[in-house]
Amino acid sequence: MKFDKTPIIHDCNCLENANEDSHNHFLRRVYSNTPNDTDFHTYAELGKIPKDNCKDKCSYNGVSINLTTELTYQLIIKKYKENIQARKKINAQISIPEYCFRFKMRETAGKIIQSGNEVTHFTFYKADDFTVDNSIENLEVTHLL
Amino acid sequence: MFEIKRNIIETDLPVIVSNYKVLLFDEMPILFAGTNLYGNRILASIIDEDFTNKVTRFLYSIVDEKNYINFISGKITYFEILNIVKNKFFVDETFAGDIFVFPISYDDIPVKYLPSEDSFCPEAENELSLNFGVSLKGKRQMFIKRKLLI
Repeated sequence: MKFDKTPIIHDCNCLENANEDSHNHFLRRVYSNTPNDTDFHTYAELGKIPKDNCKDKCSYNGVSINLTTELTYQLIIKKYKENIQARKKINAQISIPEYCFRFKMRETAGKIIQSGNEVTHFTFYKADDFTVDNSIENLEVTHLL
Repeated sequence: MFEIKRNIIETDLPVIVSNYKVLLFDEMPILFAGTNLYGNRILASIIDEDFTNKVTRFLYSIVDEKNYINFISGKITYFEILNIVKNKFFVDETFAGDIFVFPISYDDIPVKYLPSEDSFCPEAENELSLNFGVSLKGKRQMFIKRKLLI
């Protein structure tokens, strides 16, 4: 598994303590019921420039995902739905992913590391040859509206 | 992204330097608060993201303490706040981190970008629902308890 497309990942040692995980279920908010590679774009791939520190640089070159279990899945879906309803009251215009994608990663997909305040939140570093079709096992897509 | 018919000004009034607090997060901070260099309370929300021009637009309001507390405690809405406060700004932040500030009035906000009339602080709504069982007082509490027991 290579991570050479984004040298910052090596320069900032983002993969230290990161692991593969092809067993657990993860969630990511996506824009349609057929998730594709653009749903897994990093902030850096979207053109956003991190501040000049490795914490931000690592974060901008990874993808946010949430670990879930059968027990927590419905609770997280409920929370997502509440957030969307609250957000629409503040700003109904901004485009935010309104589907929830539950998936498993194949062994070569990339590496993950826990990040942020929530214990279920992980940063996923995609391997160079990552594609949704080849690297992800689609378990379920839920429309949150 | 819509056009702003106002001139850019140089000011640090709508720059949060402390007490940053996210009031609603949905994939990104949607509504947040903080204080500026001069200790003014700021309430802000995201307006739009433009990936072609690589800029994110925010709406910042300088809010007095009374209105801020009324909002946080769920007594008034964000919609009302925008009507009440005089000092409002669109802040365009490029993906590279450059900031452009436009002082605006209420009428400069396109109608479709206005919050809804029931845009209460999400945190206040959550707290009200969590505390519902213990927050009722007096006759109304007795009435609801009786209804629950029936």
